[in-house]
Order: sequence, then C-alpha cells, then structure tokens
Amino acid sequence: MSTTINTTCDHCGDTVITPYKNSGENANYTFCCQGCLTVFEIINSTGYSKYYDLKRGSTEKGSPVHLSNEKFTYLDQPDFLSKYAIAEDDKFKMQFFLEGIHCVACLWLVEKIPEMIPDVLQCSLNMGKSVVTVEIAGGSKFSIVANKLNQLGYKPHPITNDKEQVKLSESEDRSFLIKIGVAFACTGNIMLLSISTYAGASGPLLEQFKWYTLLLSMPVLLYSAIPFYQSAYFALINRKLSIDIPIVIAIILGTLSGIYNILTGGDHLYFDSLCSLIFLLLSARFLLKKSGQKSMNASEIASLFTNKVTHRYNSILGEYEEAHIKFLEKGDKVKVETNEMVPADGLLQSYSATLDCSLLTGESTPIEIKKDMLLSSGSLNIGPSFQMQVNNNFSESRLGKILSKVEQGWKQKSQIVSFTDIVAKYFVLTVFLVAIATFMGLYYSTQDFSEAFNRTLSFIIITCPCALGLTTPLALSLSLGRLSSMGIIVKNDQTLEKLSKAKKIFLDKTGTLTAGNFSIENINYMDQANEFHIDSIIYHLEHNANHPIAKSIINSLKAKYTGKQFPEPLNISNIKSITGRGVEGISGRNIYEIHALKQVESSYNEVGVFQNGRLIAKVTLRDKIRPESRSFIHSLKNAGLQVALLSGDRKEIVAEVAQKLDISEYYAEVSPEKKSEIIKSSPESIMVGDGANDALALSNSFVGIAVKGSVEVSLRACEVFISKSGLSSIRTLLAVSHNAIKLIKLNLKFSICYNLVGSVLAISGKIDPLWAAILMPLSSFTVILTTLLYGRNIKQSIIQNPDIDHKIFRKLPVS
Amino acid sequence: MNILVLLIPIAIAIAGGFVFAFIWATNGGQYDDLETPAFKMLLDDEQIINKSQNNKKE
Repeated sequence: MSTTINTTCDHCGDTVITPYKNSGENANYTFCCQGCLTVFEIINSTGYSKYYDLKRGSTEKGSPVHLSNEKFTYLDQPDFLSKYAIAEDDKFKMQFFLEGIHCVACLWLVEKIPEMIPDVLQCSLNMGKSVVTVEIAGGSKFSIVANKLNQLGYKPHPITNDKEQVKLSESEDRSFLIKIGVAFACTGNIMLLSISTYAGASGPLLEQFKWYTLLLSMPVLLYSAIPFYQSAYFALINRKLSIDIPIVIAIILGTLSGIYNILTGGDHLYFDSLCSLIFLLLSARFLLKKSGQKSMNASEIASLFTNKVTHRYNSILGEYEEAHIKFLEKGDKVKVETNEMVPADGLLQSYSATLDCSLLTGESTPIEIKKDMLLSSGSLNIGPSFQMQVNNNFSESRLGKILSKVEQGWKQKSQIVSFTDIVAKYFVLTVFLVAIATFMGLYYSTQDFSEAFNRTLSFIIITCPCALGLTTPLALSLSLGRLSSMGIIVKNDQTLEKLSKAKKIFLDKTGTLTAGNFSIENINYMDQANEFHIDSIIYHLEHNANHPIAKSIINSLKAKYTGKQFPEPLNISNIKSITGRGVEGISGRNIYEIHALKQVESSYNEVGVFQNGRLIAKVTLRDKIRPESRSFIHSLKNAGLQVALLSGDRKEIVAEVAQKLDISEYYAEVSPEKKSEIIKSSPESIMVGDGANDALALSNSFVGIAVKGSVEVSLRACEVFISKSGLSSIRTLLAVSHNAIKLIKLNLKFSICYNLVGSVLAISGKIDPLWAAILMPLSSFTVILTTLLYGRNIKQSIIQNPDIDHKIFRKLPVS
Repeated sequence: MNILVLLIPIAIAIAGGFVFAFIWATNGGQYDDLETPAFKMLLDDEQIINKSQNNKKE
C-alpha cells in the first residue's frame, strides 16, 4: 500500500490519508474511503459519470461517504407509510432529507433517479433544504428508492409529513411575500408622483397627484402594514412595549394628517415616506423570518441523524425485519447489532451484553449486563449483537421521560426582553413627552393652533424609529445566515442577544472537551527492539475486530505511521475473537493474544499483548483531551466568561481534566437532575453538552448549545446546534453574537443622531414632507449599509481564518 | 399637459396588472423554492426522459 500525502479523493474531494484504490480499469483513481470508492463505481458503471464533469465546475466540496447497511425495508410497512407518505390518487409521495447534498452535480444525479428506477414518477430536490420529494406509482416500494439514494452516497432520512403544518407555513410565506410586492409596487408609483409635487407641480395637476398618492398608499397602509398592526396590538394587550408601537403610531398619525391636509388643501403629505418605510421594514422582517425558518428546519432535520432503525422479530415470517423505533411495542423482540443504540427499555434475552451508557450517565466505563437484566434505551451496544424484549413504549422509557421533562423545561425557558424593546420603551416615552411639550409651548407662544399641530405631527413622524426597526432584523438575519453556513444552527434570533449577555459557561467533559473515545496514550514494549514488529502484530490481530477499543487502537496506529510503510507483512492465521476476552491468532510457531488487563479507571484502559502467554507489550488507552481544548478555554476566559466543568464521570478523572485545562470550578459525578439544578442556580449561563444526560441541563440553561454527535433529546433541548466537530465553532458563535449586538447598538446611535437632527428641524418648523422624504430613507440606508459591510466583514474573516481565532473574536470585550 | 389626466390612470392600471401577475405567480408557488431553480437552469437537457425505453437498472 503506497502512501502519498496531499492527494484528494476522486469522489468527494477530501484530502486522502490512507488511499483506497480501485481494482481493474479505474485503478488510477484514488479515494479516501471505501464508501467513496463504492459510490464512484456505481455512478460510473450505470453511465452517470457526467456527475463528475458537472462537479468539476463547482467550488463546493463534498464530504466522505459513509455507506449505511440499512435495507430501508421499514419504509414499506403500512404503519410507517400511513404516517410518512402522502397518498394521491394512484401515487405515493414521501419526503426525505438527504445527507451530503452539496452542489449542482448532486441535483443532477438525484433527479436522474426516475431514469434509473422505472416505477419512480418524479424526484424533485430542494437544494436549500436538502430535501427530496419522491413520487412513486402505487404498488411500488420506497425502499428501492431509498436504497438507490444510499448507494449513490446520499443517506436518506424520511420526514414526517404534517400536511396541515406545511400548508400553513407555506400560505403564510406567500401572503407575506405578496404584502411586500404590493408595498413595493405602490411605493414606487407614489415616489414618481411625489417627485413631481416636490419639483413644483401646481394647480389642478397638484390636486390630482395628491389624490393619486392617497389612492396608491391605501393598499400599503390597509393591507401590507397589517403585520405591524397585529404585533402592536398583541404587545398592547399583553402590556408590553415593542418597537412596533411607535411605528404604528407614526403610520396612523401620518395617514390621518395626510387625509386632513388633502381635504383642507394643506401641503404636508407623508405618504411617500410612510410607504417606503413600511416596505423596508417588511423586507427586513421577511429576511429574518426566512433565515430563522431555514435554521429551524435544519435543526428538526438534524434530529433525524440518530439511528432510528432497529431489527424487530417478525414471528409470522420467522425472521428479523427492519422497523422504525417509533413503532416498537411492548413485547416486541428486537436484535441490537454492534454499535447500535438500544431502541427501548427492555430485558436482555441473550446471555450477556456490553453497553456504553455514557449518553445517559456521562460515565465512560462500559457496563456488562447479564441475561434478564434491564436495558435502558439510549445506551450503545459496544459488544456483539444481542436480543432483547421491549418492556415499555418509548414514552415510558427513561429516555422518553427525560424527553418530556426537557419539553417542560423548554416551555418555561426564560424569555429575555429584547434590547430593542427596552430602547423602544424609553423612546416612546421621550417622544410623547417632547411632543406634548412642543405642542403646548408652540400653542402658547404663537397662539396658532394649526401651526403647532402640524409641527408636532411632523416631529412624531420624523422620529419614527425606522432604523431601529430595520437594523435588528437585518443584523440578526445576516448573522444567523452566516452561522448556519458554517454549520452552526441557531434556533431563534433572541439567542444571539442572550449569548452576548452570558457571564458563565458550563462545559461537559466527555465528547466536548475530550474526544469521547479512547486512543493510545502509550505502548510499553517489553522488548524495545521489536517495536515495529509488535505494532504490526497488533494491527493484524485487531484490524478486523469490531470492538471499539480495537478500532481506536487501529486508528491510533494508523496515525502513528502516517506516510510510512505499515504494517509489516505478516502471516497470521486463525484469528479468533473471544467474546468478553480479546483476540488471538497464530503466526508460525507463535500464538499471539491481545486481551484487557485489569481495568484501572473508567476513562483509562490497559490492554496486554501476549506471545505464547508471555507479555510482550502493554497498551495504555485514554479518552484524550482534544488538542484545541486548552486554547479554547483560554480564549473563553479572555472574553470575560467564567468557565466551569460539569460531568457525570468519576471525580479523579474530572479533576485531572480540570487541572490540565486550568479550570478551577468543576462538578463531578453529577446526575442529570443535579446538573440542571446547578445550571438553574447560576443564571445567565451557557451550557455546552451532547448526551442525554445533558438534556435537562441544556433545557434549563440560559442558552443551551448541543455539539456534534448529540442525541436527539439534547437537540430538542438546545437553542444552538453545532453540526461540525471542534470547539472553534463555539468561539465563532460567541464572536458573531457579540458583534451582531455591537452592530445593532452602533446603528441605534446612528438613527438617534438622525432623529435628533430631524426633531430639531421639525420643532423649529423647518421640516416639510420633502425633508422627511430625504431624512427617513437616508437613515435607513445608513443602517442597511453598515449592516451589509458587517456581513462582508464576517465572511472575509472566516475565509482568511477558516478554523481558529477569527479576527472578529479578538474584538470581544475583555473584562 | 392635459393628456396626463388620461395617461396616469393608464399607467396605474398597467402597474396594477403587474401586481396581479405577481400575486398570481406567488400563489402558484413560483417563489416557494428560490435556490434550486438557479442550479437547474445550469443543467442541459440531453434527452427527453422516456420511461418505457429506459431500462437501466442498478
């Protein structure tokens, strides 16, 4: 096996570490993994190699393919179909989320499926959501389509079809879009007419133009502006002040005074300013809504990533068939394969099983379970496959109970009064006090009622906080969009503000700060001269084993010999794995054996290599701290956050990790309930975690962040989901949120300056509709401009520094 | 300039026509997916899919 570094995979474009080569005619292609190789062969052999021509033109990179062994037969079961598929006449429709969609070539390939499988009527892919809608003729099977998609390297996940929900959000989106369209069309025409009045139209023509502007502004004021009236109304009946209230007041007063002025022949019409204001605000809100929706969808979909398929015994057929865990019932017999999650609580029926319960308890020591003992759903089978009987439905299982608690916690989650709403409160008060003072002052000094009234009115209209209403949604939607393109999914826009306010951050140990799996820390060779030989023996013995320890040994060995000739060709035959003990094999006259020595600590393991019963090497394995953890903790502290460690693992281990990472505050051996109590007692704190044992804490925290590899419960409990591994994403998230809030405050200052100038002009009577038409859009454009510049700034700093230490992060306030 | 009395209503009527076209298009679902069509138009139609003739199996 030759090792050339810095080549890229011919399927996904990823850097190749250990090259996989094709045999036969395509031998000169290189792949990063077996998955990519298989997909490449399938695509080429079926005559769709144009995929690669299309892909060459695209800059987007794919990712290595993980082929799944699922057969997807559960898709064809009637109970599943009734929930997931939509029947239309003689057709069935189902939607799948596809993993690995990245460029136009994927679109081409996926939409070619009807050519590959005759019964498929249509396949249409939505690139933005990575969702494909498959339509098949009645009588044919979805499992065939799903298998094909899987073969092509896009693992499909069926999506529940809540028809009503989908329809509702669709019609909402459409009506919002129509409102914007109407506002835009009318505003444009009003502006054309207004220009001629400002330019000096006179006589009957001026009268006519005034009536036209009134006519054209009606659809905007009565139809497009409805969302503002609604939200202002809801704010009022809930006795809250929102930014929409001053906006609505300005709209109403402006309209009324406009109508009054038309009737009485006055000059002060503000229809052009009002309509363009409504149009701009609507557009900004639409953008925010869209970016929020996009991340909401993504997080719903991410929850599908956990393994949801299990093997249920069908007593009629006498064999195991695939089933979706939602449809498991009490009494079902289930087979759990190696590396699969236990789907429900139940009793073990096989002789013994080895489970990793770290998702539930946070402890990383594998647990041995004997026949007829209880199994908890959510634990991972790390031993050989076993059979079990389901005891409880999902909702009654331990995981299900945590889930329902999580949902309760989620509902009670503290809502913060958004920053702009606080400003709006003072703003409204100030404006009204000043307005009353102005009116009184002017009336008593000049005794001219209409002049005093007009000036006060123009003051109220000109101080309408349009920039305030614009800047927040724009800055937030830009930030959310950028974050989601980096794999950081934020569920709602308030989260960014909360993040910038947080004072403390709690980190989970396993999987967050540590790698979450074992790797070789040290190999102690009894016979130093033979290091390479012994490593080769270990490799040959272990490389086919399915045990997680064996896998981590192989990975560590591969990393050790990157770019070198490894392993030494040895002829080891008769390799047997002995359950619960280890592996052994014969080479020539020697018998080699690898098995666990006494387990010393829970996140620490020792394995011995024996030659004819004599110990020749001792391998020490440990759940290592991620290399970037130290600098991550350091930068968090620099950013003024208190850091604390929260773990269900044993005290010595947690203490050691805390000491290595320089964290003074840590909690060990805490149960899920205790974790959430600690979080509750410390307000305004962020929680970072992954397992089900973190879910309660996540849902009770100020902001919960779930990192890659999280279980479904945690995903529901969190506000932020990070789909890329590595801690740098958390830094990026914090940096972006701080900067978004900073930008909002900056824009606020801008708009207050404009408003001050405007109010001075209005009160002194200098303002007329022309000034309003200049000042109001000007402040909006300043705000839009600074926001867009900010967006470019994030993008550039991410391009320059793809991973660590974003430029923007250094701008964080240091306390 | 008296012709404006006639021209402006005509202009507004035309604008109204476009607004209705927009509403019709939106309700027809043309703006539901704004991302995929941009990619789709890059792909050439090389053949008209004829299902009965196409028997490429996996």
